[in-house]
Amino acid sequence: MWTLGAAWQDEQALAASWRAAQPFPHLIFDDFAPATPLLEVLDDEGVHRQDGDIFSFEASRDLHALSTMFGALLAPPLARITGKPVVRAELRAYAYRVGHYLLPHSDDQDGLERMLAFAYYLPSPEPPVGGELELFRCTVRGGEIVATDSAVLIEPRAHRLAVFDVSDVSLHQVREVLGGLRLSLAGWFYP
Amino acid sequence: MIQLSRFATIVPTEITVTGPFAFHRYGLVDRGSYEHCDDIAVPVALVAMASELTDRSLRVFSARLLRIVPGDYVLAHHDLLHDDHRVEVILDLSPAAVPGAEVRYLRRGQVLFRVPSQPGTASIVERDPATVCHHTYVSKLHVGANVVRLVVQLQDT
Repeated sequence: MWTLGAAWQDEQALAASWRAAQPFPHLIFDDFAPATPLLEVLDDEGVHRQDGDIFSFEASRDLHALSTMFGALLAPPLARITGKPVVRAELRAYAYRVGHYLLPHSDDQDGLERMLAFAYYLPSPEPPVGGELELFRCTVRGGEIVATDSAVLIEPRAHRLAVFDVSDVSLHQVREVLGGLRLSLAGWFYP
Repeated sequence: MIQLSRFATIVPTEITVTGPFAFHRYGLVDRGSYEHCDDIAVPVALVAMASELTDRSLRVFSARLLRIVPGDYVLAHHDLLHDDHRVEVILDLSPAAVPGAEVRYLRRGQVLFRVPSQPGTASIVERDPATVCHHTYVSKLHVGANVVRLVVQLQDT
């Protein structure tokens, strides 16, 4: 469905970018367009409203076939680039409508073995206003986070793939969508 | 008075507190984003009302004033858990109701009790160690929204 284009060729340069990225390791790939329009594939997948103290959005179930395809294509190069021994991916489709958000969190949970997180932005019939992926810099003292500061904003552009490290300081959020519709596939890579 | 459950109630009240208040912003964003004032005198009438409604003899353990504006929130894992059965009173001092701005009490991930934005009311909840509380995200679409809550923890005398 996707092919790795020129942006993926120089893995040493990508590894250097990964390591140097602030506030924590991440990479952004633009124009990562699939050969087959994904929205047609996802047409049969329903999304359902989900609300919690840190989130409000619509999400599909786990998309196993797409996860397998995504993981088979991207886990090998991402393992080489990031040094993390990832072999598979799990993803869901998300629809963030006006007023939807995902508040700051790290994705790092005991027992889940999430090593890398990703978000892949789909073309939207109404491109979103807001809905940026925001990365925070954490100041840690004595093993505790004592300060958090906004560091990077990643716009949800169609066919953009954002991959970022999962650790106890990989604090990030999806800013509230203030207009339009933000469509994405998102999930994690696992060992 | 609206009796919503055995342990939680919302009552209309004319009890209020008056400022000025010196708010300080809390900014560990993985826990909350809000302003707080910890130097606050709790109205005696509020403690008396909670004591009467819960049929317990209560005194103030802690009190703080929270101000939540668009983009703000207080997450559940920022809630302080206690191993006793404190009573939590929240007096809504907001100048106007804000859609979607709620206080929610949860147990094992399930919402037990919702306190909507409703100025001129107080919620009274008997907490237990398994119950956590959070203040919902206030949408940036509600420009000018200003949620002010006096949060008082009471314990037995």
